[in-house]
Amino acid sequence: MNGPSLPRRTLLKGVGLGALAAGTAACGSIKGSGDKAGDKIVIGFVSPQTGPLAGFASGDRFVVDRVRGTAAYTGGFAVGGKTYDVEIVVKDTQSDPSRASQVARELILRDHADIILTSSTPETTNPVATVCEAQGIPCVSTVVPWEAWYFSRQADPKNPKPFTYTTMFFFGVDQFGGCFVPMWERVSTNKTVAGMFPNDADGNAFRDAYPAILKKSGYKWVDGGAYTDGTTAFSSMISKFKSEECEIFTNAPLPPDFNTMWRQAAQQGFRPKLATVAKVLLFPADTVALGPLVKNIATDSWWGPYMPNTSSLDGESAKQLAEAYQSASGKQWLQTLGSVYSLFEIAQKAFTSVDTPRDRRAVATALQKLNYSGISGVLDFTRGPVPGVAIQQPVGVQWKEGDGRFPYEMVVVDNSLNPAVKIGADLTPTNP
Amino acid sequence: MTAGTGGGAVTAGTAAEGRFAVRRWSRTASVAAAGSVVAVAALAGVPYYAGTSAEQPLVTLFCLVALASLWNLMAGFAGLTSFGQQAYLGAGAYALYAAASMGLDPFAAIPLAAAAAGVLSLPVSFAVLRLSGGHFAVATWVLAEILRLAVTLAPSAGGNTGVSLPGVSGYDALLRQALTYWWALAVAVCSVAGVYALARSRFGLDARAVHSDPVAAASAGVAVGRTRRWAYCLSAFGTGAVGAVLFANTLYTQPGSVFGVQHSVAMMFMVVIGGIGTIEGPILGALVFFALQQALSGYGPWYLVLLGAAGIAITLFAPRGLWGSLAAPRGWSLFPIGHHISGTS
Amino acid sequence: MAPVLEVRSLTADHGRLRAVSEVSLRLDAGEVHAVIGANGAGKSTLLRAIAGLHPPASGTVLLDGDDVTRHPPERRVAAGLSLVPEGRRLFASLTVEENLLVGTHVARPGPWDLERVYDLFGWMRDRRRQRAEHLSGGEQQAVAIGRALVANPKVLLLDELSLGLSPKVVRDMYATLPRLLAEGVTVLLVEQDVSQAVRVATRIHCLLEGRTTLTGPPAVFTPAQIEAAYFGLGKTHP
Repeated sequence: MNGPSLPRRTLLKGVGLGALAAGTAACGSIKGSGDKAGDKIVIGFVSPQTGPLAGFASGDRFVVDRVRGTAAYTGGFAVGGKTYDVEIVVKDTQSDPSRASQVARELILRDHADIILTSSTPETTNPVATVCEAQGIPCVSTVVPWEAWYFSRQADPKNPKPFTYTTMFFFGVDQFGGCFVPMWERVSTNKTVAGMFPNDADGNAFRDAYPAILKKSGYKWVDGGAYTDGTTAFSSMISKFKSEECEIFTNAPLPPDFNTMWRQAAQQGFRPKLATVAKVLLFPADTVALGPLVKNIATDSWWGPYMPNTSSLDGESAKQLAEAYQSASGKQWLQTLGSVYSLFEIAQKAFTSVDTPRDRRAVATALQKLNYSGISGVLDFTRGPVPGVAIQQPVGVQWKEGDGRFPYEMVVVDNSLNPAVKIGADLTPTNP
Repeated sequence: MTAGTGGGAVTAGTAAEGRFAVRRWSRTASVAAAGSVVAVAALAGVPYYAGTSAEQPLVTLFCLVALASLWNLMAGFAGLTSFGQQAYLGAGAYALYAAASMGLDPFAAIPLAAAAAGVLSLPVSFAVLRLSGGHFAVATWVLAEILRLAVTLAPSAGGNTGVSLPGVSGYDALLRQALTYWWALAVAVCSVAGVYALARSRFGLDARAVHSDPVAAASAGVAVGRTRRWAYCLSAFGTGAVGAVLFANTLYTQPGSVFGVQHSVAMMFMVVIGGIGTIEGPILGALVFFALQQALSGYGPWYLVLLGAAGIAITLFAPRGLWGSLAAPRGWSLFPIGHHISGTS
Repeated sequence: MAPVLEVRSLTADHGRLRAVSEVSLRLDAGEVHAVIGANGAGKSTLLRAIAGLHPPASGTVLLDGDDVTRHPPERRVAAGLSLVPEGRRLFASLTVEENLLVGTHVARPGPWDLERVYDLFGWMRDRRRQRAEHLSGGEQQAVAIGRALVANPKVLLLDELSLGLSPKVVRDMYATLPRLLAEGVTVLLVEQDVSQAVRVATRIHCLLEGRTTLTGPPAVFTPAQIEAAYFGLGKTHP
């Protein structure tokens, strides 16, 4: 990439707007960011540690420190018969997609990152993955529905092309359905489902996919209407749900909108027998605003101390990781602990399976071929719905009153998709 | 290019008595112009001798310089304090997305994106230019919000999640960054030079007259509405180009971010602390803003507080901006826009 | 010969308030007409409506026989109708010379240019590079007149020249009037100082609450008649 510099005269000739036209020809002489010295592998990590999305990332610093302390990381990675020190550089997007793109470029150009790991919402992962794909840097994303990660980065979403350098693991709309429908089956209802989906990327993705899933399982679908994020009046939606006698409720809203809607529903007497929510109440911090109203609301869980998984780095169990976080921070465990931890497992697996960490293509190929078991369970990148995507199998959980340490905690009530996880309690109707 | 290129020069020419002619140039200005050419040539060579780590911050700086100059064209010359230029930043970015989605080369489509923003601004100008002062500022802001919502609600534009720039995968990473860099440089140079040329033209004098007193300008024969419209639409055109270049640089755009009012705040900050109504001021303001951004970004949320404090301090102690306070007492003018009379015989 | 400026039944409102009601004027070349009247009589609104700065509710403005009622101000300036606005309203941040240059942008060909203005106001040439905000009130008024003159107007509208100026400065200002008339300019001025108006005008129009209460050459009226028209005391239409 770093060709010899041109002689001065040629250089001056190429200067200015003429260089734009002659860009392709001059390509060989354009300087890169300089050669990388030393036997060090740099891992960049990008997540929204401040700003509105900070709830996703509140455990990230802890996980990075935990990973740094594992033998696999302190001892360095053995790659092609040589041991490389590993440095992890952490960047905060401030919940801003532009900033996410900027820090990704900084990691590549300034820190000379060999791989970039990123987590939490399309607003974080998509800009980072876009920069990595364009710069040819291996990248792994997580905590983002795979459809939002894959299709919205395509030039033509109807004719998608697989990515070369960017991979991810999480789940998608099918798994939401596969997680929620079995829970609905276990409560006796009139099989009428109320859907609260905003007019945004996630909301519309659900609106497109849900009717088919519901029809297949024999449920009736009542769409509350494509409202705008930030709406504060949900009366007409609630009265529609009431007049259609909906007994099941599901959604994919922004957290504050759900808080508003759910309070108004309680006031106006909309009391569905079972509420299965997506995108909200994923983290303990989300439960504070609603208080007792969160009791027995069900949602999906892709990671938790109840998972029978162990770290591929040092054998630590999911339960130990969650408890270590609780005692270190004094805060309740959250699902992204496992996801972020697995990013670093994957990085270690990929680098130790190639001949040199500088061969980005080889590292990217290793990621695409990865199939291993770690703290998030089995992640198989070879058999995803599209190349480079590994699918996790979430379980159904309900928020139930805690044992005193924390007011509410997630308890597994349905393991249809992932039978290896033990059931913690019976499914209880949200409103009896 | 930068305010430093002609530093230390002293204004030439004392008015002579007797016959005279309108003179608008000075030795300082000649030195500054020559220095600017050398500086731009040197900057154009950066991809050859400095590499990508130098290009990235400079792209940001160039975009800031262009945005400040273009905002100054409206606010400093035509007296239009817009709070909604982010509308055209976003229009440029999403126009580039549309063009690239249709298969056009993204770099070749940047002028097209700028033109799209310019064309959009024309009908808008008829609505917002009926207002003035605070009403105008709020109306432009509302317009930017409407555009943001429109993009958010358009699934084909990626909704609130945003979109990646198509068509760049065919480019070698180094070449792509160099092209982005040259585009950013070109947009900055064209913005500064374009605003300078406008300011020195009859349009510039008319615009300053409109800014100073629209009623008096009208009674002196200035087409107030047309002058404002030109300033507004040209500024939108340039801002659209910056939006497209920023998109080509970040490769990702999202309505909440590109249509954010923080862009207007930054433009206002740069122009006000640099020196409104001058050519040098916005460039200096962009340099100061860029330096503060780099120096303070490590302080997290305190960054904005510190930036605000710096802004308050500068406006209190240098109400005409840094350039105004530096240059006016010493009679400096690197890019003179005024009309001076001096002896010619 | 057609009048240079003719105003027919001009009516103008400020919101729901009628400011000018059915006012008609005819100015022949070389005349000086003075509009007098108390505060709020509608004098300035009348001038602004003629200049195109205030849209009239009804009525017609003819310049050299052409209907300019719907023309924007800059087109009227280009056609030879210039206003020196009330309170000078210079471009404060611009230099004296730049103020004058703005006035030349839609100038008609004619005798007036920057040189002639500097000749007319002797002090101005040396101070042409000063910003207008640093001038005294009288100096500002001179620049405002100069700014209108360089457009070579056929008709010059002067709004309250004497506002806020000392009597001596006002005298000096009016002393330049004959030199403008000598160059063929026709003048319509608004003046609160009745004695000043009577001294310079070939014809006076007295407005009261937007209506013409008296019009004619000043010599035919007694001071009592003018006073009555000015304050609205009894009927004084000649």
